[in-house]
Amino acid sequence: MNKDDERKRFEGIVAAVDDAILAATPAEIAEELRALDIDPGAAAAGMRARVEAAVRARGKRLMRDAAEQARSGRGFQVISGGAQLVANDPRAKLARLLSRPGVPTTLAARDGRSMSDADVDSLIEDLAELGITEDDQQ
Amino acid sequence: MRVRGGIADMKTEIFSEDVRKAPGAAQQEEKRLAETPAGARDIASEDEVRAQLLALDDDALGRLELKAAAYRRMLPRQDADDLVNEALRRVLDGCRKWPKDIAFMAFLFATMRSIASEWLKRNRREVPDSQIGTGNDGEDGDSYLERQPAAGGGPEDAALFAKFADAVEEMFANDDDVMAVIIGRVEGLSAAETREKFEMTATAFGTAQKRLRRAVLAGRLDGWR
Repeated sequence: MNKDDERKRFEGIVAAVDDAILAATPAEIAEELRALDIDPGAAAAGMRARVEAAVRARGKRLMRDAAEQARSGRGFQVISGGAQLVANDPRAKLARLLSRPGVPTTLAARDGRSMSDADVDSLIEDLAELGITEDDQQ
Repeated sequence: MRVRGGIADMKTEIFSEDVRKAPGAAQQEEKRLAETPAGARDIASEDEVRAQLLALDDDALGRLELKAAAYRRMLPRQDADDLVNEALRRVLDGCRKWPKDIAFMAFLFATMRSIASEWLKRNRREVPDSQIGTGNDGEDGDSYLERQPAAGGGPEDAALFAKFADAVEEMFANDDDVMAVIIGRVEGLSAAETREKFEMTATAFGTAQKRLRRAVLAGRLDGWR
């Protein structure tokens, strides 16, 4: 049996274990976590924290990528989904912040897709952490 | 009629060169994903993936923790701890696309499986000989694969995968129902197809899955070399 076959065999067995975990009842999941000395509530809370951290990290990477794209001189586009930008619109605020001196002046929407509201808010928060806010202009 | 006593023959058939003709469902899924032209399937957007992750309830999160616990029995501890984070990163970054006709948890598990397979090969080359055979069998955290000899690639990689599979086979050598569950998965059969092929009741299939799950989680693999 060659290497690829052995890998398929390995993954098939692990997949069977995966199926068994997915097929378990909620009570069995809790029971088996307890059998491993893992409190189900704490496990869920810990895993939720990891998910949320991963989502935040993704936002940071988007910002880093945006800055990188800005340095490469590509065009800036914060897509508003067709809505008119208004003064208190987070997207408008983000556009104003990013247009300020010392801040990347261009930001390309990745692959032409729009940024979500959460991404916009996250970027505004990240800029605030860097001391870039609109407060100092007022 | 149930094909008792035929598991060994089927193992020979499935766990042999014929496995190339009958790849497991995980492989089928990945192959299908790789070969399906873009746009032919309904692929989730980044926003949808993020929303799905943030909406996971305590039960789903518990299953993820249990999956991570199973990997602690198979991978070096650091890799097992990093595996969930790496899977989350890949799905959020879009490195792994979620076809929405696949259940999200099954997609997450398949992602983890793929990463584990990558890392398993890498680890073989990184585990120093000094960590092998230290006589601490059964100690928590001393995973099966951590004790495998570090060596070069090529045929040794295949041997590493084979050792794990052999260990599982040996564990359930006298449990036809569990072997049927495993063989069905390697063959790429659905649960219903496996039950039909091996003439298993739903209860027998479910309890066999439970025995497989609990054996791996309990670390019984750790007793083997």
